[in-house]
Amino acid sequence: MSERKVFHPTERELLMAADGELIPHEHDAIRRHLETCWDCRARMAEIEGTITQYVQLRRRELDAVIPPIDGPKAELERLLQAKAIEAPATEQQGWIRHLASWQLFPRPIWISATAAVTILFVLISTTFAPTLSASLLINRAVKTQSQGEHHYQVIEYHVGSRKWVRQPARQTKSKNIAVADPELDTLSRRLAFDLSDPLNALQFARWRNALSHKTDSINHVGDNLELTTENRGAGEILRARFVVREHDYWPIAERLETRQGDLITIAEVTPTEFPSAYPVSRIPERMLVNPSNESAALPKPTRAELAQSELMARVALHQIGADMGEELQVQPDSRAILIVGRTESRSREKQIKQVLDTVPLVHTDLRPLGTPSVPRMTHLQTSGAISPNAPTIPLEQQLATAIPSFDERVEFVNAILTSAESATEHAWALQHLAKRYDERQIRLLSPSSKQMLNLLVQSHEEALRRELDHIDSEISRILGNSHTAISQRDTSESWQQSANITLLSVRSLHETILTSMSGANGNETIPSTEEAAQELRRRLIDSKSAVAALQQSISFH
Amino acid sequence: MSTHFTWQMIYSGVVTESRDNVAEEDGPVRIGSDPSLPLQSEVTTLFAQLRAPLLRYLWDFRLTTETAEELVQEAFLKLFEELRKGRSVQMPRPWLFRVVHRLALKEIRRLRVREAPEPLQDGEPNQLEIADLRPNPAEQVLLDEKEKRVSRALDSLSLRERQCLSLRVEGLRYREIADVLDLSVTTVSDVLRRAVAALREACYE
Repeated sequence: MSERKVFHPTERELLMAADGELIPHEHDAIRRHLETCWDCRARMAEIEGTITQYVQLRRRELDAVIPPIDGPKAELERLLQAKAIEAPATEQQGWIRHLASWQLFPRPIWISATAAVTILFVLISTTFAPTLSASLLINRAVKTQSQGEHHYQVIEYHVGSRKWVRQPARQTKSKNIAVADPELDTLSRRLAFDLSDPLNALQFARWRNALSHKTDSINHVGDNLELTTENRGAGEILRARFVVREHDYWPIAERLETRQGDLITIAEVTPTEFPSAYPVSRIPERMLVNPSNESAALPKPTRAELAQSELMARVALHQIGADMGEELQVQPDSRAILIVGRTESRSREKQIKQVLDTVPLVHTDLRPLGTPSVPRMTHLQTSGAISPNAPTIPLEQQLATAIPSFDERVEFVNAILTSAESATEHAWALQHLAKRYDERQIRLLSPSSKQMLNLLVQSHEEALRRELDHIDSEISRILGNSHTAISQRDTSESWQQSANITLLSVRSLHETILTSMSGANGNETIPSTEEAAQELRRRLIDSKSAVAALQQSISFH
Repeated sequence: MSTHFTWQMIYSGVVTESRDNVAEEDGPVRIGSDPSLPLQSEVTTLFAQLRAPLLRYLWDFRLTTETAEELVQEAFLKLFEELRKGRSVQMPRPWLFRVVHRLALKEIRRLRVREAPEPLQDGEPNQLEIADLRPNPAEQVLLDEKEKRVSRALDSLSLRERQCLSLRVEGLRYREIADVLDLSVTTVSDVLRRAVAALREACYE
């Protein structure tokens, strides 16, 4: 009896006994010991008590947290229903079979299956970014879309040899984007895919679920996830790619390839803080069928379509800064938008062609200038660096006092001149846009195109204001702060008028800076220091108030 | 200050394909929609039984309730796929725990890649997320001293210890826990012993 007391079961044995994890004869031994040993029975009771405590605590903490099952259950039933329609995807069965036969001992199938999954998972997670399943991706996209607000899309359609563009505004709550388009409707019916709202994740899910045979692949491209679903069964759409932003699963693009070789590309445009998801330099594949009889088959585009394309071309050019005084002209005619011009280099020409490539109805006629570095604005003298033997500079005294070092002075003046040059370019671009977008032209634009135009104008305007602010602060360094308020001009003038005035004042400012700081303008009488300083301030204030007036005169709604 | 002007309309098809799910050309075995119907109801019945246990298990992963719910659903869809391929899942309970465990790890890895704040570290308390779901101060008063001590002890356990406990409390045998967590059975029993000892100390001191 006393000898046996030595063999009190360990904590582990007690727990295992309580859990029924011991083999029968061990279990019996413990049971017999507990019958004789109160000490160990107390220990056992404590273990059981601890377990009870833990179970109660867990119940109290977690049961309240778990949402009711109804919603999730209905959702699962829906998903199962969808899955039941589709054919089961064949996975790497060979692997699993191989592993299973490799096992020395017969084990339940699920263990070997999960082992294979584990190995795959490890392989994938170490070599690629983590993956997720197609259905999870779509589910998340649906969720995101049901939470978002107002969105604009630019939708480009390539169908056969035709290519056109629509810009429906997408309101996530409302059911549909009601823009009647008979051609689209026909196409939608043929493809069994509603093209009036193609970036709708729910709709994509519906299409995908209806396929009898398919394969999915998900690629991580930039900041996006691309789900490509290949249809291996019946159906007009052969392959569809659905692109969502990685960080929030917001659908941004889609591409459909049809059996007939049509390619339909859809992409969203939205003013956002994120850098362009699809860099402008990426060129879409072309799948145009019968390009030979294009002109015959091509129906004449409507004026609204032309207006849309033109604006898109302008925005595309703006993306690469090709709308600020370069020798490029956007010439709309009755069938197409012609971009004519001379570029400073072959690579620039290529770049311009690239960004315009996706804009429908655009034809380019570009030739390189031959000489590689021609100033971008030939109508203005902008080479404003100070040479050591410079002519009289009215503000030389102030410059020298404020910035004693010669090299720094040169840099300072060059920086102001660069700002002035850039300001002039933006003012020029604004004036050109104003000239083009009169009331009649604006009327041709859809609401979202107007929004686009707005952004384009704003982009120039803000850049212009930034440059003027920069000039202002720099000039204050040499002339001291000026306290003249910006005069509020009469704002009844039209956008065209204020854009003209802006260009004129910014140009004068530019010239004044040239004259007073670099002495570039030799053929006029050189103003005195005092005159030059006053002139400079006046021009600056003029420019600023012109921009303020311009800002007020703009409204495209 | 400046307007970011984004022009997301260019679309490219040039990508390096890295398929994670390539079907063989000879085509999948087609299962009619009729025989699949009982399968569906089998899966939903199981879902009704195991959804809560699985969600409770996922609790320690500190995912959002929504994500946890999605992962559970995903696991059941996988189960359905598996059954439809004619494979038998003899013990769906541990099978599902294991799948859910994997999915959760995957999800956490995904979150890490996106440089979200570290969602999970062994033994590292994550007060922010716990705070709103644990009993609030008023409720806390209702917990007696003993429960409070146990609750604190529970928080001080390592993630592995908590995982073992919660798999055990959901009815998994040691062998099954070992399979879910990729441990040996001996390790599981040892981890459990340590966990219970820690809680017991809080309970009876």
